[in-house]
Amino acid sequence: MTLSDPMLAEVAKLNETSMPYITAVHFRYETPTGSELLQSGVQKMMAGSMTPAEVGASLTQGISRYFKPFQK
Amino acid sequence: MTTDRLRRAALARRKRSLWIAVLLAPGLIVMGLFVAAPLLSAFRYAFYSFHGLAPADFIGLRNFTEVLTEAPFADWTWRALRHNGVVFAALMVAQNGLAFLIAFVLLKALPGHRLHQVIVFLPVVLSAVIVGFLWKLFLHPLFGLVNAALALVGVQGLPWLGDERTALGAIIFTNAWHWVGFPALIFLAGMQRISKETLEAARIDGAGDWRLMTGIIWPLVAPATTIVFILTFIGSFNWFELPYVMAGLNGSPGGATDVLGLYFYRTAFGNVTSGLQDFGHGSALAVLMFLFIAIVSGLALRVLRRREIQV
Repeated sequence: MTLSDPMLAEVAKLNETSMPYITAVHFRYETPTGSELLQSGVQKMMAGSMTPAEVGASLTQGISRYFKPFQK
Repeated sequence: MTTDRLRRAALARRKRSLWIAVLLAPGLIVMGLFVAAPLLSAFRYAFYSFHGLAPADFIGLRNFTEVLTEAPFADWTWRALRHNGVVFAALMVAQNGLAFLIAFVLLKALPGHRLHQVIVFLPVVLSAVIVGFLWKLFLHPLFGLVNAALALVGVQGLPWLGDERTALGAIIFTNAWHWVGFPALIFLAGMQRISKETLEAARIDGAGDWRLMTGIIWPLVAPATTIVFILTFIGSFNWFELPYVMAGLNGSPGGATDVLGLYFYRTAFGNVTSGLQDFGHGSALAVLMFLFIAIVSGLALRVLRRREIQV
């Protein structure tokens, strides 16, 4: 499916890599789920007590419990 | 003749034992089915990994070591425990300290003290859900009563429940408002047990209110203090309803109000947005909470009982 509207196409493009989509579809069958890590992280980011990089790092670390590519 | 009497006595004893057993049975069955059995199953589940809803493999103590030492579970466990500790300390000082002062004032039987006694105790009869909901509205940053009242005196209010620095304090304050009447009543009952002669003797010797309260009443209400301490401890570390109603399962904002009860609940039964249930880690948390509360309350009870003075 192709979208002719440029705005919709831009949003659809974002969906390919958007974290809520990825955590909701792929990282929700083991604990801690991607959703819970991302939600509490984003809340802290909005409150200014975590940087986006720190949220990303904590998400990666949490998911690495069961997602092999993230394990060092 | 004697053997006949002995036989009759034995029969009466057996009859009595049977009666006791019959009377105890309903309670025992209910307790066994609804208290002991779930407790024991939680102990069992704590040693299993879960795939879905059925225990899969026996994994020994791994659930325990993971919730206590492995990131990110350990961070959440210790953060929640720390918050429970803060709640306990704050309630002991703010709620129970105030309750002690209120009880002392009520003891003086000033005009209108009966009405005040009822007013102080009134919130206790409300359910925690109603109190939480009401105070969530009162503390609302846009149309809440608290910020409107502050605005009247020219103070700019905060988003109390939305700020990481004030959220836990706001819920502790609500809890104190809800429960202050209960310790006040226990303290008042303790104070009323002190004989009038003791108090009058102290007064005649020239003791003022402060001296009377700290030197005479405080040591003599030690049994009441023990009860209040233990109940507050258990309540603080089992804290669930108020943070659940006021801050949600995640202990928002960003886990600033996360306590062990919430953490256990969302681990075992699933979060709002991700319904993944993990009874293994959940049961391990429940067992740890149970052991912690039981051991500390037991020790505290022993220590506090020792300092009680019998009048």
